[in-house]
Amino acid sequence: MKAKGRVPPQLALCHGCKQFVRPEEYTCPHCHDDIAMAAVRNRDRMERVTQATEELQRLLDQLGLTR
Amino acid sequence: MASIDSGRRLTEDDWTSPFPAHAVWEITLACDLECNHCGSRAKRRRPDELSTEECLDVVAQLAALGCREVTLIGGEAYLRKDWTTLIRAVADAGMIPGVQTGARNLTEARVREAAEAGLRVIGVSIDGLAETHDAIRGVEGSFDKAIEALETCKRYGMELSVNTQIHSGILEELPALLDRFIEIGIATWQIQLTVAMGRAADNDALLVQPYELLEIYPVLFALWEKAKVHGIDLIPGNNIGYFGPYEHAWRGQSEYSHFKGCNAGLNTLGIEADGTIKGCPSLPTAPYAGGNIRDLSLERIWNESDALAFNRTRTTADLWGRCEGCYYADVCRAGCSWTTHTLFGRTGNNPYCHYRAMKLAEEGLRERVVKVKSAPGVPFDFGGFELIEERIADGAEVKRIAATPTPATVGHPRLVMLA
Ligand code: SF4
Ligand SMILES: [Zn+2]
Repeated sequence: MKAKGRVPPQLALCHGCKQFVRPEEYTCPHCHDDIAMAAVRNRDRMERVTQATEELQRLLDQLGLTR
Repeated sequence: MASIDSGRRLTEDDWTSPFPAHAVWEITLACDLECNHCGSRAKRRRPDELSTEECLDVVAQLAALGCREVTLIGGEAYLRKDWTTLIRAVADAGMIPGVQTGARNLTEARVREAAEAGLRVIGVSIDGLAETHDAIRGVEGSFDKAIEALETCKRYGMELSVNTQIHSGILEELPALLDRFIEIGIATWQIQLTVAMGRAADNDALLVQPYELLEIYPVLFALWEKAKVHGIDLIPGNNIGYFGPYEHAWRGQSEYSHFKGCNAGLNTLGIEADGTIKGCPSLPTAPYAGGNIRDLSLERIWNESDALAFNRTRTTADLWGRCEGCYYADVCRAGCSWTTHTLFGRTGNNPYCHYRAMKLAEEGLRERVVKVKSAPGVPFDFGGFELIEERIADGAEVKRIAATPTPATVGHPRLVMLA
């Protein structure tokens, strides 16, 4: 009879050091950052990147440099 | 036929109800190269390779088991006269046919024939720039032939992939190789570490040492970033890793993508040219042959053989050495079974690990492997290695671990025909 496989455990990412941690962790065992705070900082950073990219795209469009 | 992408994605059901989503099939051991890292020691065809009729029956059985993609390898797949018959049969059965090749004699005529038969994915093995590649492949001019084959396949609309082994002489050549691949326009670049199997066990100077991963992986990550900009997906093979700061990026570019353990017998299947079935094409034959297609149906071998079920039933109890008690133990389970079994005659302890090398370095330590036993000289064989833990500062040996295979970990009885 075929043995059932296991669904491998899903880890979470610490945005402080970009290493995987167990989902139940509050503090990263690798960089000792607060995992939730690191995620918030990362989200803010990503939002700024998105805004800057959109602004750059707008300027390029204005200058007629978009292909 | 399934799209290439959707055929490769694994769902939760794929994990809980193992089936051979991807089969890698050595259709002949005949080869026109003589690579000095070849795990199967390919050269001459096996005396008892499956006939065309038997192969077509295998194709039908694979399709019936839900297989999505079949990669034909060798030896050199195109040295079988019926290789395009098999490609066509795989495509007609609704699966994605692929071919992995050294491409020494992959002429335009052969490429055309394969494209007409439905070949959509071609993987060419390239292990360095011309001089290095030719030395490893044992044939002068084989690098140029491989590049030429990629260009030809591109003209015939195939998705191009390159497989490269990380051996001891390649690191400095990788950036120039990537530039070449960007020019050609390949889609994927699959990287794996050379493993101590077959001729690579004979030529063990080709193996990188575990502590060298700390130098190699930052280079690979920089290449991964550059490749991405140019639309090339650099895919780490199953023995590249594990964890560490690059894992989230190169294992799939998401917060949720990380190594999830050896796939053998879960959704991967290996077939040798004589019909021997294994959970992964790379695994050593003796301990992992689950049975032969001439004796039993593929379904029975897949469902009933212990040799194929080892990843379905194993726990962290078989981990040893530094993998035992590792933070990632239950996710990773010591990584690639092929890499570990060929070193130590058993799975469960993998020094080729980025996370582990980083942790060791924090303690001022590093690991290296030393060959203590030669391989017997048959296809998919292995020798024996000891694992040395030493101080980085002065090289003083701290610990030496000899593998001690136990009957439970050495292998599994193969299924044979029951009366
Ligand atoms: S030490 Fe072993 S179990 Fe831990 S991540 Fe590395 S290979 Fe996996
Ligand atoms: Zn962290």
